[in-house]
Amino acid sequence: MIIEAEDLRKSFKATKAVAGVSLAIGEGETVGLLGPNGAGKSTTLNLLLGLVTADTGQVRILGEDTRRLSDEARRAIGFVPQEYAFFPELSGLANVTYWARLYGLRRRALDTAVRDALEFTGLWDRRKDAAKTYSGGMQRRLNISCGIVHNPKLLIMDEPTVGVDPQSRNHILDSVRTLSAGGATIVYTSHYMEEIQALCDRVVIMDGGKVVADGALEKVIRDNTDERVVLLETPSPEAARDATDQILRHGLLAAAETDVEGSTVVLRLPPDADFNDLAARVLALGLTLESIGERRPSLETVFLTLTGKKLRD
Amino acid sequence: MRILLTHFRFALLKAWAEKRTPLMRLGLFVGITFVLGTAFSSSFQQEDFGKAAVGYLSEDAGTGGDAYFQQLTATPAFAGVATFEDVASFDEGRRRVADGELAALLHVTADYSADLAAGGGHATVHVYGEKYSGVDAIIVRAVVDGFNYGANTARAVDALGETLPDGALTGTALDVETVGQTREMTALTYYAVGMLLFLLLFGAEFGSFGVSEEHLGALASRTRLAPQRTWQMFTGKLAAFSLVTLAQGGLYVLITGVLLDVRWGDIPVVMLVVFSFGALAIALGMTLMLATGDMKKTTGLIQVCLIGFTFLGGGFIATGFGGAEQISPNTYARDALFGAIFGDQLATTWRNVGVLWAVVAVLGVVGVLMSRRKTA
Ligand SMILES: Nc1ncnc2c1ncn2[C@@H]1O[C@H](COP(=O)(O)OP(=O)(O)OP(=O)(O)O)[C@@H](O)[C@H]1O
Ligand SMILES: [Mg+2]
Repeated sequence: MIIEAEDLRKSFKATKAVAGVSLAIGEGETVGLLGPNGAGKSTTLNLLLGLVTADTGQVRILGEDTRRLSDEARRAIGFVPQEYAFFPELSGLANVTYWARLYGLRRRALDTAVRDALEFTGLWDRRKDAAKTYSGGMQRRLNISCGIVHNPKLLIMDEPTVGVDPQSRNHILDSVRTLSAGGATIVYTSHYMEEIQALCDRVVIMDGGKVVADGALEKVIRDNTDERVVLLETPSPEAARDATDQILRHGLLAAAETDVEGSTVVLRLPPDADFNDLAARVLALGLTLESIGERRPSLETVFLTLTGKKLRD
Repeated sequence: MRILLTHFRFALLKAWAEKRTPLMRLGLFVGITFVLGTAFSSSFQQEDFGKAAVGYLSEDAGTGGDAYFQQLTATPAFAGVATFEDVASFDEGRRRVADGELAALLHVTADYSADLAAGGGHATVHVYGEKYSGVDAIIVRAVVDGFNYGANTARAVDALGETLPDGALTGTALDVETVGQTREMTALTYYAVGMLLFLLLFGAEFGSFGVSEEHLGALASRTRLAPQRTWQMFTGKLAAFSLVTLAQGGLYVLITGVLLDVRWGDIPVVMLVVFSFGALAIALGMTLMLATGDMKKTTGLIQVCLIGFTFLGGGFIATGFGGAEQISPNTYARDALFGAIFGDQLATTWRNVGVLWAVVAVLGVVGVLMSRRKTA
């Protein structure tokens, strides 16, 4: 295990920021940490890294107590905090070089790593400009460059794409994917569902300082929604109404479970119904259909079910 | 060592990127020096290094009181710093002190000799001074203390049956006051030194900013995760920032030397003192920041130190504070600089430079230890 955390708790005065979080993250996993504002995501990351002292609970990271990490372990960890963590008056190049040096890189290895880190985030062309002259999205990317220059085995990123234009965002996502493909373990928090869905093979959903769901993306979605929807595409709205009539007449579903949206028939499956069975019986009716498919519930729906909150805003 | 050097290099780089503020401050201080040096030039000698007028009166029934004053007024070391005058009556003496004609009245009462005989050598000389905070009052106290010290030594030697060699009573603790007699102190030199130290002390602000960036906010987390030790950061930055204040001090010496004709004496030694005092100021700022972990508190404390140390070190008003000036590092640096400028007391210079570095070392250890103990 790269990270093992047990029953972490942390309160700030009356606020229970983290109220009993346990996590085990294995090598090479890409874990998305989701939660509404104030859920305790950043505090959890800080606890994992030993930057905040837990009230109770323990963290082992790369096999070591997080409060007493060896230099070797430190060199294997990269952190991209939620706020900008670089020197604004120094150039992008100087900033990245500074961290590379602190992490022990020298000479050729240093130059290569610095160049890679800046090219990685698309900042090489602007490397000589002072960081404070960068746009918001570029500063975000510099924040990432500083955190990855030493090629960490474990990368922890706290909302690295907040306030970034779509182009920069895609650049960042590609970078993370490349790191992940290179074998790095990644913990990633975000407010953007589709980022988590696109990047992560595991999702941890937090609310009110607690983990409310944890597992493979598919499984979390499956386990946390009863809603299953079959969509029948027909050539026209008339055909859609006709198809609905037939389905109701043959008693395949109850009226409350069907709906027509334009030329699409929407069928909501009861919990015990079998998709294949239903599909076969619908096809046997000989309707004029263009396609038949299942609408898969999204993480968004899961999130809403679990936390009662929309993620954005 | 490499990490230390990294901090050194990047601290210099950052200082270079933010060179405007220190340069503007330098200009301001040259201006202040000029104004102070000019404003106080006429009154400077008389007010601060003139002799204090001291009245004395013995109403002793025996002969002890007269003997005391005879010896006191005849001691050459005191004649350099004070003029003595026999006053006719206690009331007259008091009035003249109150009017400011005399700095103090020394008074021996009727039973002085009797007390001396009865109390095993203990009797009291009363000192009446009006301006207790003034230079004159300090001189008077130094004179009386110094004389009594010498007299007591003489008495002790007497008791051992030895004869007292001539001039034994002059071996007193008044060496400090000879500064005023042998040195041609001008207001400009005095304030140039005071303002240079004030300027250097601003390095504390510089030092605290230099560490605050990495110890507050988002950079703090990354800094704390990096494979490095606080002492490496502390030492690397201290070295870099001290060089920056040295450069600033060097420019000040150059500009005041050329434009205002301040004579700086032994320049390499002056630069050594500047470097040492700059290091102390930087270390002070860094340590306050590391210890409090709070920029507001640090800035407040630095302001107190800036004004307090400069004031106690005689940077604003040329006077002593009855020993309180000893807690100000400015005092040590000032005397070290005077030593280098006049070339007459280099031993003091070396000793005081040692004191400054000892303080730097203590600050460093405290800062590193305090920062280690603190985790949110
Ligand atoms: N240093 C602190 N002092 C006081 N309260 C804090 C501190 N840090 C976090 N909190 C509180 O703890 C709770 C969790 O905060 P945290 O930053 O971990 O949430 P988050 O999930 O990262 O939120 P966001 O999505 O807005 O970044 C919040 O109520 C916050 O106000
Ligand atoms: Mg957060």
